[in-house]
Amino acid sequence: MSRNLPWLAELQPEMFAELDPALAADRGIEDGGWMVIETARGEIEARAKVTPRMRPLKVDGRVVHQIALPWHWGFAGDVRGDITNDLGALSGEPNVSIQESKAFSCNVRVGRRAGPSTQRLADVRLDRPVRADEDDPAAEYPSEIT
Amino acid sequence: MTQRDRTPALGTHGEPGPWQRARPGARVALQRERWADAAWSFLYKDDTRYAPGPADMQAVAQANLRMRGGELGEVHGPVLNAHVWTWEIPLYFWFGGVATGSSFVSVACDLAGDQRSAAIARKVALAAVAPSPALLIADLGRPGRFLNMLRIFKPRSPMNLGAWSLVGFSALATAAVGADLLGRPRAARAVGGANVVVGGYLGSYTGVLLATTAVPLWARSRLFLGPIFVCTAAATGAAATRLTLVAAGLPQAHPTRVGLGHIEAGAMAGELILSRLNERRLGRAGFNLEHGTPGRLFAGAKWGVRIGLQLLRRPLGPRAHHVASCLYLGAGLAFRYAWVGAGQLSARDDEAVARMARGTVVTPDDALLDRPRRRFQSRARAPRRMGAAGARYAELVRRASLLAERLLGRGGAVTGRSGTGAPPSQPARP
Amino acid sequence: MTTRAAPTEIAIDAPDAERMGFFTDTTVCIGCKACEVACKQWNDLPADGARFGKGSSYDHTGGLNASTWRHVRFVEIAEPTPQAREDAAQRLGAGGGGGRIPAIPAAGGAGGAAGGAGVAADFDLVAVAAGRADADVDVAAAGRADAGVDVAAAARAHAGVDVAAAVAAMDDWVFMSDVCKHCTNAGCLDACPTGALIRTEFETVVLQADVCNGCGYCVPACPFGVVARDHEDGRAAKCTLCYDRLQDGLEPACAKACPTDSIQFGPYDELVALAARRVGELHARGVGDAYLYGAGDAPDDELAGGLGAFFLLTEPPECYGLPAQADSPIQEHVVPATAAAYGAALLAAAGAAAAFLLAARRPAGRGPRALARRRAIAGWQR
Repeated sequence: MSRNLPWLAELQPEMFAELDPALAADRGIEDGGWMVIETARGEIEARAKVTPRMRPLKVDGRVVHQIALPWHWGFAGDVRGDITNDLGALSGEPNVSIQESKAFSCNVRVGRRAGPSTQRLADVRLDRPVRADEDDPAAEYPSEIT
Repeated sequence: MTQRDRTPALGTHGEPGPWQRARPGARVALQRERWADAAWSFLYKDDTRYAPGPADMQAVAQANLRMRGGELGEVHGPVLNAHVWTWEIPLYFWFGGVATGSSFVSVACDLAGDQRSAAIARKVALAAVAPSPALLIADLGRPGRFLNMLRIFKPRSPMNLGAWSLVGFSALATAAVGADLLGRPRAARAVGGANVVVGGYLGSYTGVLLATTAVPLWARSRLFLGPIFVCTAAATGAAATRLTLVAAGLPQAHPTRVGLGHIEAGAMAGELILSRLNERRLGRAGFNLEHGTPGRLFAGAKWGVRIGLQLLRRPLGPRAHHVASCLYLGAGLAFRYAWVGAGQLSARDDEAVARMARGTVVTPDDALLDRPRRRFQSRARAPRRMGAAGARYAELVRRASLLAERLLGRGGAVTGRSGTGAPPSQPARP
Repeated sequence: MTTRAAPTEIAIDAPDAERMGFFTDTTVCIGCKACEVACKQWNDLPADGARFGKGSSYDHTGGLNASTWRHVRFVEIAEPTPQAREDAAQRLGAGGGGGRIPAIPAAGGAGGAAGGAGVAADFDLVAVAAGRADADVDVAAAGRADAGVDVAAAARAHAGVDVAAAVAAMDDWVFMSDVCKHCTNAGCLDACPTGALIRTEFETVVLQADVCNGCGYCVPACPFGVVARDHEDGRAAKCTLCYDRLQDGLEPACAKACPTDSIQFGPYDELVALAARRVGELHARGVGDAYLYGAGDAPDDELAGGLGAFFLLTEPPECYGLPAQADSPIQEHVVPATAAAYGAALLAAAGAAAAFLLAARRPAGRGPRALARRRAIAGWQR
């Protein structure tokens, strides 16, 4: 896959989510910082891309913010990141069983995901909780092409 | 294992095709010499709505000027690349300046009749220029290929002329000191005198080198950088020579010693004045020479000079004068580092770059539309093309430098530049 | 025809070669970065290292350097200019309520992607989105004149936002594929002391890697910040306009890969003519800010004498990190700077001689100290 090719990996190195400035300001999320997207089924972390291109909707008198998530990352490859599929139900398209659900309602908050980092999930199975000081992907598993 | 029916659904099984043993040099039947796909891959031809109408060059020129002129808006992203030089370069500037100043001093001593000081000054000049080639070579990205600096003669490039002038100056300085040691004072004087012509360029071209770049701070100081560097060169050369002469026993009230003191003080005072003038006219572009580490170096150097000048005003004895000379030498070095360091920051100062660029755009509404623009047009004064002999020489130097690189070993790392991602942290391959 | 650009010390003549260049039309660019990847693949360049947010928006590769010879800039333009707002309001005919649309009743639902189903009957979103039937051009529908429905505009129209502003801001994300400009008056070419940089028969500027010794003088001499020195390799490198491909009649890798043919390659004069026609077309369609950067200028206003790789832009140059005006700094400054410098040097030499003449007086007086001094001075020469 394209995550294994350095020329492509450097173009989009990390899992990111696009959100509008109003939402970012409301939640304290900085452009380039970490944020967590959580749904009823799970949560993922992504780098925040705050952009005025995302515009909130006003539906039935309520303001509804949209965020945009790409499908691309995973545990393996030169660049790793959380997987958007974790947010939705496991619903497979009838023909080839590719993930079918692409839209969810979710919540966002600033910070890193609770639990082991993606790096750690890739390589290590611990039988105990991960300590906070152990869970720093940049320190332990630096991206190979940085 | 059951026998599967391998009858192909379509066509017949492949078989070896008919072939002939190739003749040496035979052309491949399918080969086309020029694929010429540049033409057909052009999508937007006349049958699209991409650009159906006629070309109105006037309107285009107007639109260009309108968008490029006017008020400066937001500046995005890096505009320039900053220079990649390291500590060797300002140090080389300093050594070159000392060498040039000493060569000036030696001629002045000769004219005043003080042969012994002149000889010592010539030795100081040689000693000062001696580390210069090593410093320059060490700063190169591929030091083994240093010979390529002399591969062509290109007056348009200050760095090329500077390299040649360094070679010339070193040769003449060596010859002059050699003549001195061999007891041929007249020859030494003549060579030393000739060296002023070369030394004049060596001591000033470094300012030109910086001025002929796109860095706002340097380019806007183009008329001041050369003279400022010359002042530093004269002052540091005189200071170095004066200290050497004192160490060699030059008596206190000797006219040479007094004269050198005049040169030091005069040149450094001149530098202060020129710097001040330049600062005033630079305005925003001079920001990086006034702030940050280069700003501190620059201010410190100026203070050093002021203190030195004050020390000379009062009759504090010869030791105070030596302290002043040392201050001048140190200030000269600090000035070089300040200018080079500030240039790096100025190249990254996008707003200054954009302002300098905008300042030269004339918009359609500009009343000065008809002002003549005197620029060095490449078509008007094109350098002469290299002749066959020059090309042969260049090729020879190229081969020699590649050989030198191989013999001396590579200064930098080799990358196997494959996109399959050999990480940069891999060890260098020779 | 022989090369028309200034003959440098080393230039290649070829009887049947003409000037070739790039015309990069940013209005057609989709920001896919295929040009970046194709360039790296063809020239076997290493990846620069993945770091999120090196540039702005979707740009994570930062800029042009020794191992990135094509680089796509992404610029998000947050607020439409007042002029753009006005234009859009006019185009929409300042539809009722000053261009504001009331919120949709619940039965209508969000999205309205079909552009009409379930929307309150007193407001025709399709007409708004398509910019009214009687308007002949519309920024939102530019390039898709037959599309009829602009989904994005319709979606935005639901948000209770200023429609005129939304239409004006349609082009609020610009992409520009930056590359070496292959200037007619090339700063890097003038600066290079080793003759590594040469002018080819196609009037492009190429850096010969077997000559470059990494002095780094070309780096600050480029007014566009293109060429850079590689930290590990030691040599400088930049776009060659795929000189090796040109010699075999192929078009450069980036032009080949570009899916929308935003990067167009061909004989320079043809490209300029095409670009001028394209600018005219865009002006007619209401994109009044379209202009050429590097071509089509009067001789006095040219950028570096005319850029071999020129662009069609819609924002001021600084938006894309380009200088509004540029020329080879060597050609601009070398004559006055050298005159001032060498003149000052000769003045300094004369001044040194004059200072000695000023000091040539012997210490006067007849006292023992003055005598001792004169003896010491005289003794120096022996």
